[in-house]
Amino acid sequence: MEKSSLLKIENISKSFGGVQALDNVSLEIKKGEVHAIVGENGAGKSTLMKIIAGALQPDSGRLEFEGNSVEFEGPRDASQIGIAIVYQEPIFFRELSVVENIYLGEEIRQNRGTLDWNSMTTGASEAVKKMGLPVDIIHKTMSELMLGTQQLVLIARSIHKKAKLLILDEPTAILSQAETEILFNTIKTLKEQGVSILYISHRLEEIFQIADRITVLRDGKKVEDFAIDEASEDKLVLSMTGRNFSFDLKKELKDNNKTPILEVEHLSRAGVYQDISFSIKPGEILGFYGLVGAGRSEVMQAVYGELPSDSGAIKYKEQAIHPHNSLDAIEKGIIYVPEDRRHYGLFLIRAIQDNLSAGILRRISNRIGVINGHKELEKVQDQMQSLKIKAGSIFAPVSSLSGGNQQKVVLGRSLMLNPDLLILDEPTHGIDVATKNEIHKLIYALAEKNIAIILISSELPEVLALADNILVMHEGSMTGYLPRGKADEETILRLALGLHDKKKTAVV
Amino acid sequence: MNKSSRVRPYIPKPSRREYFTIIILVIEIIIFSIVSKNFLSANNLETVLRNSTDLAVVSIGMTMVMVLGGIDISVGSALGVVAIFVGWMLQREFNPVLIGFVAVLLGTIIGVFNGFLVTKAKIPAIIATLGISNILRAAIFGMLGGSWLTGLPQVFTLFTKGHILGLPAPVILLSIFYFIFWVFLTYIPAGRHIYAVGNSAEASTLSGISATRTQIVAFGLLGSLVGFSALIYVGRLASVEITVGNDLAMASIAAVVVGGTSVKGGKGSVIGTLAGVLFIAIMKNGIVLLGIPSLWEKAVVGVLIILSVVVDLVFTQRSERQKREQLSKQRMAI
Repeated sequence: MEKSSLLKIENISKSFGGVQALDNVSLEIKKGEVHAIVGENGAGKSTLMKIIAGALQPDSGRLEFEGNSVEFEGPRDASQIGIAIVYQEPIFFRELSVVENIYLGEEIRQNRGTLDWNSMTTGASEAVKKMGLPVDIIHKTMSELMLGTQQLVLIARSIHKKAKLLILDEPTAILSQAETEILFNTIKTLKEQGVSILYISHRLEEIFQIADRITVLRDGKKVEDFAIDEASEDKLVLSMTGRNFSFDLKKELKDNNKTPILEVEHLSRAGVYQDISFSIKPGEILGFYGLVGAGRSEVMQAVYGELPSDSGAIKYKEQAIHPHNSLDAIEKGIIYVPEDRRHYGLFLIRAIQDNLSAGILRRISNRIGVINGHKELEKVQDQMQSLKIKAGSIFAPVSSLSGGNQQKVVLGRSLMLNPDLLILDEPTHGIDVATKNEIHKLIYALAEKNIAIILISSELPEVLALADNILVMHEGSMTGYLPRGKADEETILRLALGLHDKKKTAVV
Repeated sequence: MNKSSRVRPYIPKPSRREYFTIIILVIEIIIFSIVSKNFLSANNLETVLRNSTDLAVVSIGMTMVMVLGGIDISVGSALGVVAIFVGWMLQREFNPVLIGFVAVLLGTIIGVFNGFLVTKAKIPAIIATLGISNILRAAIFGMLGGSWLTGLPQVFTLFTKGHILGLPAPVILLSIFYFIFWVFLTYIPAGRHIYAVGNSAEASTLSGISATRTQIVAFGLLGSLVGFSALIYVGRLASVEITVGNDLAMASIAAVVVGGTSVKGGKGSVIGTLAGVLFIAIMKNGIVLLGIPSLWEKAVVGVLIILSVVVDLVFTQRSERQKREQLSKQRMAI
């Protein structure tokens, strides 16, 4: 029997700045269906979820829920008609008990209007019991619970509120094996009760375990839509990659006989990453590929000293180093350019000049510590020219620049410190295509100048075009270390998804 | 799973941090009873309580505002303005019930106005109430015009000096106030929502709790309590001086913080606050009894405030550490 439709999404588009996050996506979710969404980082999954949950409004397109056209002004509108979402980084009341987290806003009241804690105790204990959690946790505050338990409590809350559509964004990323089992059993029960589930996950084996339909997104577009019995891992991987891209620029692979500038051996941090080894020579670009949560940034944080490893060795310029913080690392010529430039990379309300010169003020000051203004201006202007930063004035606030130019400013500040090893974390994330190309050229040019570059990127084409070697991580482990010649999109994505294919053994 | 096991009913309770204040309050009382002969006398204890009745009432409201993550430093000036109105009405021999009504109403209006500045005009609470505080302080100068209100009729004296059923009036008064607000914050949705908004305005909005309304309610109730405290103040001193309420804001913030309310909001209780008020009042009293120059009073309160925040930090760090240990145990099990 054909199930009836719960939610129809028609031709939804959404762009941020110059970046098209979703492009004409249509989707249908049936009642009692587990619908999985897969795709690489940045494929538009999260944007789509947020639109369905009312947290974002689409630029165009329409939503239809239970046959009625709906428009959400905010998340509250969506939750009122029965759409619940549990985010990867969930929102809840940290210092309040589990009971209150389940009930606040829709409390049970006695006739005289006071809160009926007895009934809420009973209701909350049933809700957590359904998620296989011990009943006595309802007395604890959320802040006392483990991440995984918090997640399960929030799912219990959504179920308790009788959601018709439950959106789960990477729910198993922080769950233990046992907790995952419980979640899957709950999903099965919900399905039987006619609740629909929209399930985002990188873990293909999980999806095959629970999903009825799978939709593949790539670069903001819907690529394909499979019923579970038509789908296979191979088909999914092909569909997730399979893009026809052309790069005008491809780094030339040259023989490089220099001694490595950085050698990392058996680096581990309990529960985050294990046994990571690699090396990089001056002028080389090492691509770090992996899906969200694979532990790439954490490995790099060990290299520049912000999050120490438990064991393993880092050798820099043939000497063992133990950087204690990023200042220590910068002193040595190791510079990290963070991913979230608005939060960690820029002084948003300050002028472009201030943003560029912030790191070198000490170096351009005289003996008693007064900044040499002429020198500063000169250096800033040089850097603006060489990076082709487009701005009305160097005194304009950096927030007035486009995303691409902002990224150049962040890069520019790092370059003014004369790095020997540059770690770039998602340097082209959220940047329009033209500027992306420019940044790629820039990275290439830096490598030509003998700077060693570690490129953390979620964009496969970018990694494939620029990197000499590619290290692939999956859930904290190194699943592949390949020279570019031996790498192709499919192989890398398989390694990143943790699909260890016997035919294509990784060169480790 | 054990099906027969029944779940202990849940009721929001003070946390360990607040019990900690109660414990050190008890220790403080024991120490002062040992080192000072006069401390435990009924007379002394009554004086301590009488002198902090208005502070204790205001601190209930301050607790609610601080649980929301806000602050109100205009309470002293607001109390002053209301007290002057009360004084004028007493001089003209108005009906005491009417005076009480006007006082509470006036306080509420000031509180609600603060609430609007914070929520609608989106001015940070510390700045909004600092501004209001200065404006009201100027009003006090203008209204008093250089002469104090003295020799006011002793109409509200009962609140501090009287006895009801053989017990000092402040004991009865504070018991009633603290009980009412404990019920409000535990059993009434509007009260419990203060904790919700203080924890996460975002999660509150998603749950259909209006953060704006909750904040205005909290500031408004603080205003009402300030209005009522003006009656206590006038009853206690039978006069209104130009310096009226100068210390009130800082004293009540100190009491709330010592009582275990988190400066970041989200945590705290009126029970902790009552312990905080008493702890500071007894400390000040002890300093006097021991013959220590009273200039040390302020320094001691200052140290107490900072220590309280350090204690908060120790409590959070301990629970974080326990969580980490639990996590690593979980990992080992796998």
